[in-house]
Amino acid sequence: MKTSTKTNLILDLTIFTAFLVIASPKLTGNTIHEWLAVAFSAAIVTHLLFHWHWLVEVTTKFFKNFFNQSRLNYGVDLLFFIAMTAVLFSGLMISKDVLSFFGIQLDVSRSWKTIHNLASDASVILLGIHTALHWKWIVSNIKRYIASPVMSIFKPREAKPVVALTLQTSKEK
Amino acid sequence: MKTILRILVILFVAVTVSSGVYALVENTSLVSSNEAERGAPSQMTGTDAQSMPARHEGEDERSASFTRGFGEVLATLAKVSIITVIILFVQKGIDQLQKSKLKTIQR
Repeated sequence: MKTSTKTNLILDLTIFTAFLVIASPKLTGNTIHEWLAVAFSAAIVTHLLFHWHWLVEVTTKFFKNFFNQSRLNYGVDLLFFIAMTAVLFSGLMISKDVLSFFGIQLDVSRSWKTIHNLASDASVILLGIHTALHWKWIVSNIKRYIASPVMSIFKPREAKPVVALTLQTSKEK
Repeated sequence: MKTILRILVILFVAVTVSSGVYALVENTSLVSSNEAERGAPSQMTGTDAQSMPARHEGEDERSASFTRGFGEVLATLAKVSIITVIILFVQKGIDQLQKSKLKTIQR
């Protein structure tokens, strides 16, 4: 799946914002929290599809070059995936709205609530590490696709029309 | 077709992880319930003692509040930012150590 950097950035920022909202169930209430988490899992799958080639490349070369930045990223990403899966699965097990919507009633142990809290705490920590490891990419692309276009709106445009005019006149000649 | 196959691979890995978590939790809770059966007094039924606080907890969580929720969002953002800054400092420190090592080798 070929995607542009801009599309990746938009998806990543959306996932980051959604993560913050989902991690705060008091903001949305339980029903939206649960349904947003279901949508979030689809966003994670899309994120993984966007980085599929990198995933395959690092997985196949995992044991060749042991001390590598990509390997560290891979390890963190794998742990992050496990933590997020645990959060979503335990959330589904203690769900009050999503499962009842499908007519499923589960009689589960109280340990799932503890697992849900532990896994969500772990995923917050891993998100911090994941963000730090991709910091250069995040900053450079935010500058390129968000900061620069926004700044260009407020910049005075004086030189450009003059250049255009001179080009036009030279063509006419 | 390729994308569907990739989605299936991702879902397979997710199901494997979920199965692991399920096995872990169910085994642990089995142990804890056995311990509770052995240790708890007979008149104190687990359902009465546990369901009351859980119900209050559930009621509290179900309602949305913008001010409390926004505070929670900021708290999560602060946690993520602090962890990111710590990792960036550690990375910078490692980079500087490697540079100084290189300089000493060159000398």
